[in-house]
Amino acid sequence: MIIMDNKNSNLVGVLLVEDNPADQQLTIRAFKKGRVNINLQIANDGVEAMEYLTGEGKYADRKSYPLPDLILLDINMPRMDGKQVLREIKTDHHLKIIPVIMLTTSDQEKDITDSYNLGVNAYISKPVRINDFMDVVQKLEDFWFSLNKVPPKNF
Amino acid sequence: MKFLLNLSIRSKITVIIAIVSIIAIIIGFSILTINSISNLKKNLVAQNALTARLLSEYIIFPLIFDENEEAVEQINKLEVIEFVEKVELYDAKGNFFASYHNLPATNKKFVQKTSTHYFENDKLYIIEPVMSKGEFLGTLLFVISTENLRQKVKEYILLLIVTGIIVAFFVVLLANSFQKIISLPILKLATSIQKISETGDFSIRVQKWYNDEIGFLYDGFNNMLEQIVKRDIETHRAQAALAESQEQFSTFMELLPAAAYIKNPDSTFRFVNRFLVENFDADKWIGKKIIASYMSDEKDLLEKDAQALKENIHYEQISYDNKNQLRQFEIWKFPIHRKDKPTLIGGIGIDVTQRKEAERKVQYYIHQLEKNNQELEEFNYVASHDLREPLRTITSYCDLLSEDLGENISSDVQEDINFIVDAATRMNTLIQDLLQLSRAGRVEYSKEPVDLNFLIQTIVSDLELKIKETNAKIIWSNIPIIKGDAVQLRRVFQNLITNAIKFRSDNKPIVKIEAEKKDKKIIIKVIDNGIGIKKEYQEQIFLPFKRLHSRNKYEGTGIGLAICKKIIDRHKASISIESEEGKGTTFTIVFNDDLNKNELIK
Repeated sequence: MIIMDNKNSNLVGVLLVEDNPADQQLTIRAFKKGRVNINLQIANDGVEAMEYLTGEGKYADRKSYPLPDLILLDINMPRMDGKQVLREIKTDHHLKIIPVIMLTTSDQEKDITDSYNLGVNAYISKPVRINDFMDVVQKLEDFWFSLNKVPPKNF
Repeated sequence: MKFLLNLSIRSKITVIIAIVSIIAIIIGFSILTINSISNLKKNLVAQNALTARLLSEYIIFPLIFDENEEAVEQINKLEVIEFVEKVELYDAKGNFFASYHNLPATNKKFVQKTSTHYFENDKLYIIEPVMSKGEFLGTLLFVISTENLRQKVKEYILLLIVTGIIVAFFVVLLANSFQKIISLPILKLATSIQKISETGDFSIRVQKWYNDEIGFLYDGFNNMLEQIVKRDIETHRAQAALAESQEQFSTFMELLPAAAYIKNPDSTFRFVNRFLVENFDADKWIGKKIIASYMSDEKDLLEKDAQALKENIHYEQISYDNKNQLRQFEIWKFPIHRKDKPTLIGGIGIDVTQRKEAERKVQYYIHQLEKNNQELEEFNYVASHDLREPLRTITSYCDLLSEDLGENISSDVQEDINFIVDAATRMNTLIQDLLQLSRAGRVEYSKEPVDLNFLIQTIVSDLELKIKETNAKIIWSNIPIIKGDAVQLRRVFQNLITNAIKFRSDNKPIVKIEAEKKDKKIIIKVIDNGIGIKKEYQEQIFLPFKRLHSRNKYEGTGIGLAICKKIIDRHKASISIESEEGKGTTFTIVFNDDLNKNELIK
């Protein structure tokens, strides 16, 4: 789990839910290359993500593990997959206002429609080439952290 | 009389004519005889009365003068008259006076003042008073023998009898000949009737002789025969029709490869066909109600029969046949309504054992297929994600590797990295295409009106860069609305247009999309002026992984057209290719024009 700057609670918080370390690494590198400093938290699967979001166990410490402003969610994961996590988030009264972006290898129509039906805010297919991937992360930053207004955290 | 009645008509007529004629003759002759006898008598009386009168004149004087001898003399003059037996003369006082040949008097006293005569004991008595100037002088009595008369009568009668017999003989002869006028036609008729009744040949006709009642009888008889023959023919025809229909029915029932039966209203069997006899020994069922081999219970069966008396019913039934094999039947039962008779139950049973078995198998296979399909879908899903993720990681980290090496990277290493990336990328595309091909064959297609004009517009927009780069021109117009799955159809046209641009010749690429409606078909042609395809390869291009060119020259997995073909097949349409190497290629897609206008509005 790599936290880019978890001391600064004013930074935009992003929770990356991803089971593949290679992809975790890739995303971290892409964010590192970006212009905006963010507080990136990583959950290794759906179960861990839900623990983080509901503040169970060690995640009870909201100072170290603040609620994210944005969730990047992979679909295919062991234990609890992305769609299940999405369903739980979007049916949870407190969590449902957090924007969720699917960042996944799957470009299956079913996954796309299922995700939007569950209330996902965006669906992004992971690009194959690193430059494209960097580009996507760049665009994410630009849109979600500069142009878009995320809901205020009043809890 | 009875004897007469039983005679032949011929004899009857002869006898009747003869009898009638003879009676007539007898009556006639009798009248004649009586008349003649009467005449003879009258003549005798008249003759002798005259003689008596005349004699009375001649004996006035002898009587007055009492001249007895004179009187006798006068009386004896009567000798000339035959058969005078006695002549007696009595005086006024009634005393005997004189007689013929002085024969003794028969009366002591005899007085009769009026002339009279009578027959007594074959004798004619004539009494004549002798009168002179109104004074009664005496009585003359004549007794005349009627011997002569009788003789004459005898002769006469004899003559008449002889004549009668002769006449009767001729009468019989004539009658015999005349009876033919009546009897012959009747006999002929009788003969004909006998012949017909013996031979049964109703085609015989009688020849009419005269226009009398018998003639009418003949006409009537012929007419009757005609009608009999006609009715006969009709009856024959009806019988033949009936026989044929019966034969048809029984043959039909014999050969019917299904169970057929008729039940009485009380559910007892009345008729069973051969199928039932052969398969269920049903000949023992007749008159019985429930068959043990039925697996349904008795109450249910009786209820069904009761229902079948009112309406058609249809159900399935399982029975054991005579080989103790379980067989499934589809049963139809229906009421057989009859005029003035109780309604019967008709039944048909078709053996559906094999069909049901097949259906069960099909159901099993469908289930199996669905399961397989689901498994395949799951596999596909996993493949699309899990197979591609490592590839993506390979390419990503190759990129990172070359980035990390930075300027220190040698051109050899960079080339090696590029090969790895190329291979991984290609494999990714290959997996993607394969998944698409697999999905094109399995996913459910929607069936909605698709505007290909708009669809092609969006494809052209997507390919804008490529089109600009190659200076290509895509021309299309007025493509009719077709019914299908827009997403899948987009894939087809995108593939075809991309191919047309990809396999361009040195000329500026022009892709024309033409459409026409013909015979309830919509024919769409995608025509390019590219490099074309050799005849020998044209058959193969719809097969997956069929590449006609080296990878260096043209990119691609070789699945695109296979996907197109699959999608077109799933639309129940057809795709074909016409191409000439160096001149261009035309893909022709033929859709059924099954677009319903109502659905369009919807």
